[in-house]
Amino acid sequence: MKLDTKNTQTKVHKDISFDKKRKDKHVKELGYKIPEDYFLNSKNQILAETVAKNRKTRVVKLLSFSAVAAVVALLFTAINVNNNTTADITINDEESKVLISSLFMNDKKIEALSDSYMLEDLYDETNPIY
Amino acid sequence: MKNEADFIKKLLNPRQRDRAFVKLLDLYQERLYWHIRKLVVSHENANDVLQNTFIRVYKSLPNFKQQSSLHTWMYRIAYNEAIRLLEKEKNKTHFSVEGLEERHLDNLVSDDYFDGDEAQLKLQRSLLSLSEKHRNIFQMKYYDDLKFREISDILDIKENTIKTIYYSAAKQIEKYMLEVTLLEIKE
Repeated sequence: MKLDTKNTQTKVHKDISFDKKRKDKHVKELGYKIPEDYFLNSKNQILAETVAKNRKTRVVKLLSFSAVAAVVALLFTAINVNNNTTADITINDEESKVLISSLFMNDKKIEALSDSYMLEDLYDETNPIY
Repeated sequence: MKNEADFIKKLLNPRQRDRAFVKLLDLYQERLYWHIRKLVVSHENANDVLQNTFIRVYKSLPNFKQQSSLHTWMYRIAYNEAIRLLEKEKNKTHFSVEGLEERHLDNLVSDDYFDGDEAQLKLQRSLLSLSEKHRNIFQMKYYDDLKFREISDILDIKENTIKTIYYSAAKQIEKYMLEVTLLEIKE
């Protein structure tokens, strides 16, 4: 499908000039002011509260599921390797400890990890001109 | 909006929703902010209401039934969020309607993000002299450039009634401005 660039650009310009006209009307006639870069900051806040939060929930769910699956797989392997009839299992290697501790990872740590790339990822995905 | 149907499809598709939402935000953030600002007056309140509006829009997108246009739907959510905040304030302060309008003006003047001169303050006073319904309809038509049909959908009031209220509000403002100007000349 061929993109109608001329039309799209005209529409974008129309929207921008329409918004500018609207802003002028409010500032000049009604005396309203807004903080500098307000709309950019507000956009980031809204995206953090909506899209990023939603993605974070999905990532946390995925991480939890992966961690549980890994522990189950580990336990299963340990039982098979030891071929013990009793369920007396000790976990010694470092990798296993990390996997298990990820199960009890603080939500805030997960949030911090996911927050850092969520918005960047979203901006990368989004074409600024539409 | 051109190709609104395509855009709505993207908003309703969970795999395309996030990208489409960013575009929706770009398109509506500024116009909804000004719409809300006139209803709640202070920048701080307008910011809170704007955030709540988009959070509600994001959460409600899967349930958007397309019974109205996306444009009207967005404005209706913003309007309802603003009214919710005003109701909360009304309940908190137990002001009479007249008292609330005085308070509205106080909030405006004390707002760090109001920089009105005498003429702008006069226009704000004339708007506050209208009933809430008249004021909202006048502002939606004159400042937000909404069509009568759209205002009718947002407020759920007949289009003809909206037109009557708008013209009556415009006349009242004109009269108020004239009277105040005459008084100023006399003084």
